Amino acid sequence: MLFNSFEFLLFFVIVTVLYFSLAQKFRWILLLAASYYFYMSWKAEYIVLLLFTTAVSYYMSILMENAENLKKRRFLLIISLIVNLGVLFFFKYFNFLNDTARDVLNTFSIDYQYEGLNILLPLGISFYTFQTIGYNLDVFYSVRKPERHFGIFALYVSFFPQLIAGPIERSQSLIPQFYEKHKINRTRIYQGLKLMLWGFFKKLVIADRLVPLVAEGFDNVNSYGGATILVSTFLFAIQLYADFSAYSEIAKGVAKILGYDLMDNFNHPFISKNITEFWRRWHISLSFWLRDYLYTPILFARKKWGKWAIVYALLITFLLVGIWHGTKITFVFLGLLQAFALIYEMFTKKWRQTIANKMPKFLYNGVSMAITFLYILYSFSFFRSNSLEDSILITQALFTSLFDINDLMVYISELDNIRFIFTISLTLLFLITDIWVFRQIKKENDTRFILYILYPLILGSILLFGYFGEVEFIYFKF
Amino acid sequence: MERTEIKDELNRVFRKVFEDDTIEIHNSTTAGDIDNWDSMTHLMLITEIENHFSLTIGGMDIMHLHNVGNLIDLIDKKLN
Repeated sequence: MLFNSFEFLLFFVIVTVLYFSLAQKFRWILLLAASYYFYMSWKAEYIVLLLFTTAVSYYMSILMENAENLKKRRFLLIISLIVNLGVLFFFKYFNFLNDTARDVLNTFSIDYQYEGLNILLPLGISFYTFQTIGYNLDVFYSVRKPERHFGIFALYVSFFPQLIAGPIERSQSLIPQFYEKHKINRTRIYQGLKLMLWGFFKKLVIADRLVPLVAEGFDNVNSYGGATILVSTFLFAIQLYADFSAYSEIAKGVAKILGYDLMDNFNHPFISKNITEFWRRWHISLSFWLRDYLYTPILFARKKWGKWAIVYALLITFLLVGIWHGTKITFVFLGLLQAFALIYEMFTKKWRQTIANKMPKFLYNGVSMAITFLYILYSFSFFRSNSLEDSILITQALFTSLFDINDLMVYISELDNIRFIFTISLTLLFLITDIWVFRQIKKENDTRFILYILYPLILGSILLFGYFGEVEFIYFKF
Repeated sequence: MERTEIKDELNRVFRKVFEDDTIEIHNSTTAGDIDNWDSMTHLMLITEIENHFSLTIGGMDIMHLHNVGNLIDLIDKKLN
């Protein structure tokens, strides 16, 4: 069930009431049952995959702990990785590889007709797979001992607030919390509700309202010039940010009410002064996961290469990030653009510092933010683009017809002038106030203005302007 | 080598790698506490430590290094 549905709200209220009514020793059972129910509400059969990943990871980790030597330990790790990644790989890439194989074989006149399987990507598979792999690697590296309580471990893998789209939590951070006794805490409930409120605002009022504006541009790339494409891309960046950060905040809020702390997943990414900083502010849990479990091991395996080890590790990491997003080549560009920027920044760090010292701070920071933001917009266009051909057209439009604003009027009228102006106004208002609002939400003591004016205003906006068509979150596809 | 000796030698390595004579490391020092500590300098630091103390820091070791204290412990373990 989607967070943005009455079904979920009802589910959550029931779970919370039951949670605080039960004795501590039964709470994990309730949460596990609730999490499995939550997951099965999409497609009941896929619970088998979740159980399978859970069981394999659980047993492999315990076996690793008892392994006589490093070789055996590594062998067990590899089995666990092959199984977990294998399932993920199968669901994401089987059909694509089959289609490619068919095309190639048919080109050589070899008769291969197999159409592939009619498989649906299980929801959240990337997120719970990465979370579990992180756990397996922690056990392998002796950073932690395996969790012996199967039920608690199963809960760690399937905890419903963050099961579908993160944040990806480290076991050292989340598992201990399942052993703690949580009393009903008014402050926690209040803080959690505030986070949920802001999350719902971002999803229902901003992200979902931007969908048609973004689609008009990206689905008709042929018809529009650079200015319109830039506007669509800008709106897409906001849509993606609002959508994804909303999910993370609702997840955090839901967990908080029950007494659990999940990590922040976003920290106002668009004020980043460079791409290196961007990755400390965007999808933070994934970024840190990649750094710790992929980038760092690759880097240190090749440390003899010096600087080139960094280039190598970055390229591999972001190539995989690109491919993970999907089988379209545009996703590979998405990944490579990130890698190139990070490599560039690494090699030019001293030079850029010299330039920074020569001008006023606000000017350097301002220009840096603008350049970084435009670069992010350009990479995001690959995320949303429907095909490589479209991406080529987008690139051409951005670089050759940026100041052609005539078709911008056409674009706006296609969307209905009033609706466009209204949505843009809400979006800009959101952008300007985002940092300030979030700061208020984090405070535990609210002034009367905030309490009686700001939050009712946000709630009112949701009820009046929210789009209640129950649109899925973008990252559900991954 | 005694732990305090290791710490002093390590401090010298830090000052060399980060080109800063004012650095004073403590057990709780992390990457966030020192300016310019990023992938590149982290790599340089590890390589310099390997050369200076004549030891090897491998993949299994890296995952345990969260602060300077962990680093000192690791060097201590490898030397003694």
